[in-house]
Amino acid sequence: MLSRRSFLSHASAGAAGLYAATFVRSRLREQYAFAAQMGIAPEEAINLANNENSLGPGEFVMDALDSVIGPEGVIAGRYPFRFSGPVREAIAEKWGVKPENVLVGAGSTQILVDCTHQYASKEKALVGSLPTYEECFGYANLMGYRTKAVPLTADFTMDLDQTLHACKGSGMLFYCNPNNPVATLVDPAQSKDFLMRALDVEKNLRILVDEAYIDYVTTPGHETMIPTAIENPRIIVARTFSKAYGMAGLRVGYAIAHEDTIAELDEFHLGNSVSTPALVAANAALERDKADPDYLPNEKKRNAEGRDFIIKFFADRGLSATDAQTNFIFVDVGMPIEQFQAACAAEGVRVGRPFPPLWTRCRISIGTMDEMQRGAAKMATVLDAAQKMAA
Amino acid sequence: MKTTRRSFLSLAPAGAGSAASLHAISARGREAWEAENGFRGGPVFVPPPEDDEIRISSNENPLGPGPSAVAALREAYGSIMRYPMNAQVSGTDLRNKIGGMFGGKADNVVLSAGSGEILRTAVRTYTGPDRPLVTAECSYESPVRAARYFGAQVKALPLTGGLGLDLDKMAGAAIGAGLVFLCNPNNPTGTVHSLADVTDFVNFVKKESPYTAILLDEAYYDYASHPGFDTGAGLAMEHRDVFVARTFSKAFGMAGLRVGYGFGQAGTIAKLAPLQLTFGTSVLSIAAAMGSLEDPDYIKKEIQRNEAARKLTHDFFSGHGLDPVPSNTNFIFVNIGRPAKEFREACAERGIMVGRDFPPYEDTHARISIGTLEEMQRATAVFAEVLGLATADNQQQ
Repeated sequence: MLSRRSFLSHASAGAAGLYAATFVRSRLREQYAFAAQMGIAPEEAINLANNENSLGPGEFVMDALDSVIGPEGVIAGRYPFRFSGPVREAIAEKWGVKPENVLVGAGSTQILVDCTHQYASKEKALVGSLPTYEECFGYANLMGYRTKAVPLTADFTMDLDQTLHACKGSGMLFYCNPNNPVATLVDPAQSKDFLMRALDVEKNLRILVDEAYIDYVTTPGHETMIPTAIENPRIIVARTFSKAYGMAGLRVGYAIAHEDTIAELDEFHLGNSVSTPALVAANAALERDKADPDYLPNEKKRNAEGRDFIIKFFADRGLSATDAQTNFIFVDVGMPIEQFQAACAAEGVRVGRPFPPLWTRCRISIGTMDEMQRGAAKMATVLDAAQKMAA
Repeated sequence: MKTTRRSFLSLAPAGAGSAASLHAISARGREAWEAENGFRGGPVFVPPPEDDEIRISSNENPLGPGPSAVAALREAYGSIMRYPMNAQVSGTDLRNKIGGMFGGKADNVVLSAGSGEILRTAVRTYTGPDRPLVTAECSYESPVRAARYFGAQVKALPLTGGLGLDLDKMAGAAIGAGLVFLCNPNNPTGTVHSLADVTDFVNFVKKESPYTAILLDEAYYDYASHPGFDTGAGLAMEHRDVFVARTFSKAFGMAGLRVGYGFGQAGTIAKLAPLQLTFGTSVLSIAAAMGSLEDPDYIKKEIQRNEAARKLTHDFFSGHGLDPVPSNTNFIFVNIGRPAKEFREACAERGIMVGRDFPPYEDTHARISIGTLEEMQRATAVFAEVLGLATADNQQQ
């Protein structure tokens, strides 16, 4: 098992704990323990903890899915093979690439693990920001790989200079942009340039660009790295249907990269991991992207309204959030996060768990406007009570 | 047959939707479906056309899941946007249910994207360059592929004359090994070993080589009809690093939903779980699996249905003097006295898809999955033609 020392080798002091092997592998599993502990019934609680999309995949997708399942579900008896090729083709078509540029996985988490397995090792470190989404670091810790976690800047964005430095001699950079849990985006004017410099700094480096939240970015000038990944075999883009597409429960995501890179990832990739309903729903969603080009922009707008509302709610109380480009915010709640989280849970609102070492910051997912309004009222109660205690 | 995306997802215009959607629905239940759902406007998706092809190549259940499973799946639509731990029927609910079936708890169970995932995880957890995988030649080959990929040594022991696992030789090879893969009933041969024999095997190996893990793959458990056969779940509870793998892909009819599990001591499961995918099993799959466990009578009926179609197939071959291995599964392994490839291609030309090559038996044996009784009637007629056998009518004369 990995010692704490090895993972902390390049992290700053104060970073202790976040990527420790004792932490469970993903925030999701960890969140479950939290939910069980708090005794919250999922249907009663307002769940603003896991960056899910309360609206789900939409009627179009649900109709498609239910049509294929049918009243007797006969199709479920067959292996998903006949559906997997078409989904790969549909994704390729969406991005104007070849099916060979696409690898479909059980959520983008499978892709994240595939990349970490292939490109990080005991010798060649995994590099990422501190904090960031844990899946890659969780796997690296499990396998005893070397890791380098780079603290964020004061405005909670990735520290590009320090990251560049950490890339020297490393195997893989996990570039989560926008970044989870801090919600921030790398300056669009610098992003691509930075990736190119990182590849120059270390000739063996691979970069995994996690674009899970890209559909929620409202910063002008931001663009996907998919075209760059197609050109450059050392860059991989991961996408998911769990966020804007509202299908976290179906477990489907994908990698887009140069076909040689996809072939390399496919060697380790557990095949046949995505279920027929997931493939059908993903395909339908991609079909809708063509038939209804406003769907995703509308979803982005809807999310931005909820996001603006909750950011203003906190700002009015003098509590500042980062520049959120995701379906969650990262806000200073002015009290220990564990205390805030527990008090919210008692009110029936589940908010994000602690992200050490940022002990007073809370990650709050964006639900529907109704959920945000009801959630804000409950959070106001929590904040008021804390203020009274302090006074 | 290559299915293009267009063929399964053509966007039908509004109004034409209800007609198109009928493609999606098998002939059975169509009226009930229309009564329940009425005519739907808007776009409707069409799955691959059901042609006349009979697919008896992958040991699938031709009927799919039972009504309680499908109902549960559709009831879980509301959880699609939630991660599985937040779903109304969560992964932990299913693990609790399965654990309870074997007298255990949730921590005795790890879910898996089909049983394939847990097989691979077992190979990664327990084998290595100095810790070989012990298996049979031939058996389900996915652990062997995983072992080769991850750089573990493989010891594949030949089958006995009756195409069963050679438990004595495997026990000998197991000493000092990392993992024994015991597929019981065995795929692709359909043979089975009694619980008494498996118990002796496990006790011997764990006594002589306590650090050797044993995976009892019971994918076809429900279809086994041999009187002495039973699950090794008790052995898994008794011994460290002994565990049972099961799947909902066979008798439970959910190959498309990718759900299976491992069962064993909590300590064993805790070793396996970290290498499993993070939420490899979807909320609909979890709900459907849970629903299927609510109706054991349906599974009993499915077992009887399979038995009847299997008997027809077995009798067809034995009636023509061929020698099918008595099957405890939803497939038959039979010596057809010619290369499987030749037979397979000839059948495919006639719309019957049968199993692939199974070395070292590829020059003599074919694996044929059991479809519906009607499918097997049609298939056996084709087999008679392809193999140059007299038809059943001719036989009787």
